[in-house]
Amino acid sequence: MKSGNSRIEELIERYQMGVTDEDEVAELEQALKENAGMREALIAAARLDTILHEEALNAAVDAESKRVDFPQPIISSKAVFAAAAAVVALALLIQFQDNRPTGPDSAQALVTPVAESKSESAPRDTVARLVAVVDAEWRDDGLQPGGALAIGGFVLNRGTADMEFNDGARISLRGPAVFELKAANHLHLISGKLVANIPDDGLGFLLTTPQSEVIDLGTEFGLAVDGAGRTDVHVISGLVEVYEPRNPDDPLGMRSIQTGIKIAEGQARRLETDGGFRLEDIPFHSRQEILGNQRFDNLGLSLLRGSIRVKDTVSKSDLKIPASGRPRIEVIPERTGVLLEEETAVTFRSPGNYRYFGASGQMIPAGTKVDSYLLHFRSTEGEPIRGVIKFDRPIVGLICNANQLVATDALGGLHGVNFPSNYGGWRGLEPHAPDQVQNPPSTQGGGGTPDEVTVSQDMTTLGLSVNVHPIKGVDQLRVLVLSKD
Amino acid sequence: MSTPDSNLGEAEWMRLFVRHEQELRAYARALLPTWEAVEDTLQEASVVMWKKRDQLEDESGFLPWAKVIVRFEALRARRAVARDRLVLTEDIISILAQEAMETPDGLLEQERCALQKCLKRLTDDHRKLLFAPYLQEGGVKSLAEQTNRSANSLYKLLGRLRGKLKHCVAQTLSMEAETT
Repeated sequence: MKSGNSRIEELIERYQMGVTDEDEVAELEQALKENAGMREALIAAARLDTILHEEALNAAVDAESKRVDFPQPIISSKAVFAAAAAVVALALLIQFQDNRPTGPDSAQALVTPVAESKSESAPRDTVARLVAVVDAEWRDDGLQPGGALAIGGFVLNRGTADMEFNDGARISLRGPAVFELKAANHLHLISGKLVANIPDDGLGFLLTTPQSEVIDLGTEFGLAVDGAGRTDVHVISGLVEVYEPRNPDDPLGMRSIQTGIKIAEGQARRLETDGGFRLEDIPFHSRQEILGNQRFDNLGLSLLRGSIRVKDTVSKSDLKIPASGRPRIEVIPERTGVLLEEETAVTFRSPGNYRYFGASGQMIPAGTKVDSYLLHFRSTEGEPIRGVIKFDRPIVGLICNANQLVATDALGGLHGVNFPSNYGGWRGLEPHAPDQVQNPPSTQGGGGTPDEVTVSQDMTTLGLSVNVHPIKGVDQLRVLVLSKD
Repeated sequence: MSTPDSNLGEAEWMRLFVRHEQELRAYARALLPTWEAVEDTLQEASVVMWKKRDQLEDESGFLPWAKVIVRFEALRARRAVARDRLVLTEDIISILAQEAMETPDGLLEQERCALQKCLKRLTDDHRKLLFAPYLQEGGVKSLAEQTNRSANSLYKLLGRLRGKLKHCVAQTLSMEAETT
């Protein structure tokens, strides 16, 4: 149910888009008479509309001038596409971290969410990216986290896989599943289970099954398709509309919106297509019930990308011996529901791109309840390792400074975890002063280049580039997120 | 250069009008239900302003003076529009006209900078949808046909995108205010 103000704000939008009816104009009139705040909202909406109007005209003029003067080159080589696909995962991570201004003045700089960079850099036939898998076994080899997914059919024999489309739509599949990526905005699930999370701006995203076409209205929902011609729809949040499949002879035919079946949050329906399009109530399943338990999102992590893995502890041997094989940043979920009884010092707590990690004087207020994660990194390589972690709740503070880490070990750390005690000031990230970004001092713990941390605008996503001395260095930081409690 | 006791010259008047045109357009937009009416009003108002420019004594008085003229022309335009579409009453538009006079100088420009940053964070498809209503009559319906979606669902999406933009602009301005 909309609150009174959001209802009136919606009416203002509709009025300015010219789609209000008589009753709505009367309702708006009354609200504007009674409420000065709503009049202010209308005046502000008019300013926004004016700016958008100007931007739209400017964009149209720009597009026209480009069309005339600068025809776009046509790239047709498949080899170019293949090469682009191979490097795109790495390119994304670099783009996420390197194209940002640095230093304290840029702390408020807009940080582009990871998903936004892709549509520009992905080759034409790449429609999505595999962002994470758990115990996944595919019919075809070669599908790795971070890899590009092109149009075509896929068989996930077992495990779970998360993919992200270029426009931000997020699909989590549970095997066994058979599905087809039909276009940049279209997944067809032939059998299996999935949970779809399509952001507000998931323009034109289409989910189809052999029995239905599902239109998401800014929601999260589960789909299960069995071999007997049935589609189950579980609406986890928001509202979805389900339609009969389009007539294949008239794929562009416009349907009446009234033909859709609306399913609300917490409800589930089974669509039967034998003898016509009909549905029946079934028990609702949560995201976890649909996807099973082998998932990192149970740990509050909604995306891992790059050289990142989840681990349950840090042992003494982890501290002594760098990880074998490909070095990774390890994420160790620590204590949850920790009530901060006093102000707690953190290195930073705002969006931005950070390249030095000295004491900042920033504090999390007493009374905040947090969940804690330790990030741990060792390597024999001496080269920067990069990764991106998205949490399902906002980050309230990052602790990258050795002294602050020690001070919070007892607070957030798990019993039985071995914390480094003999790394002096080099347990955290380096360097510690702005002038060391360009000229890092000779260190034992730091690597050849500065560490780098990027926090997204919405405070849920962390981009990391860490770098340690091959023999002696260790990098750790602690992330405190708002507790689910 | 004008002095307080001299009238503005043609060139100065033109420079002031161009500088404040968007603020006047936003002012008219708050009073009128369609862009067509806004553009007609601004055109009529600019003719009146040109004819009456000798009333102006100095530059600082331009914007309030021009808004009064736009207000008068907007009320006239409202009556014309009301013949064939649903519009707010003259009473409420008069109140809005009065209150919109108080918009702080420079706010529109700040919001424009913020909105440009926010627009960059959207995909091409989303910008295309946001711009569609301004570029042609029935632009959203046309886009719905191109993207194989119902117009109704695109209008809903458009509403959500505009809501997100509004939120993003407010957040960006608030963050910028904190850093200055």
